[in-house]
Amino acid sequence: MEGPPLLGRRVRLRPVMPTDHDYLYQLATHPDITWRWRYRGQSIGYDTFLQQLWGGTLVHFVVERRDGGQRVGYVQAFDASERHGWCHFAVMLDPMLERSGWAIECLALFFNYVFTAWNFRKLYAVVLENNYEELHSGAGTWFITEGRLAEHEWFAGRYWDLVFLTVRREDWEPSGPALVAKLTERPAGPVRETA
Amino acid sequence: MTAAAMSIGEFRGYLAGQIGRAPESIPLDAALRTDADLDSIEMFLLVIAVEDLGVQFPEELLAHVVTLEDAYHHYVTQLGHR
Repeated sequence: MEGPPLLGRRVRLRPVMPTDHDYLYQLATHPDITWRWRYRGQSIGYDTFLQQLWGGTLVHFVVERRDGGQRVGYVQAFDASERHGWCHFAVMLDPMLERSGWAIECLALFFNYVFTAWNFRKLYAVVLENNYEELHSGAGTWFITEGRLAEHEWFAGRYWDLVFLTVRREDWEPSGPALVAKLTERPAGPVRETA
Repeated sequence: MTAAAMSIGEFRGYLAGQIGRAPESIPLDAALRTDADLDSIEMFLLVIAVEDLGVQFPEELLAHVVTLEDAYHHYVTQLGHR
């Protein structure tokens, strides 16, 4: 039996290697990313970064271009509760590609991988209100909004809401594996026995 | 041209359907990201939908596809080269 596909039309997900550490540190501290990533603009030491890169991580991948293999991002599942059936996820992509939709392709592969490998009910992402606008069309199909902390974080002269997005297995399975199969040109997703 | 191309109206209707929008919400000459306000998910689905028509969208070309008219021009051109 093959594992879940990790090669899409434009991107490939591959395991994080020690040789990726410098790249990932540079990405997480990039001026266009750091204020959105978990550090919210704060300087973080390299050793602390590495501890947090691996600590609490369930699974993570470097995102590469399919053509050429250049590293373009990172996707992570973390703080998992297998008992309760959920985990958190996060993605960061090279700023040059942020508005291209590539993040969505890598997330589709990633959701498929996580829902196939673990029996999670929910995958959570916590995003600032201004990031949410980049994804708002997916509300009700790709994800639901389960919570919102009003005016929770200060940035650039005002307070922003913090939005809790949930990708539910029950919403993913009707269309997600078919999308991944289209991206990868082979069957994807959990194999379910039919009655 | 070896395959029958959609008209630009059909092309817009097809893509709008694929991303769950009304065709009128995507003016042909509007910048997809800024004027028509397509977000990352919609851009992703739009590119996938065009590729499903048998059209390749290499990254260097994608940067030049700003409007639906640009996408249609690319679609027709590629069909003509089959």
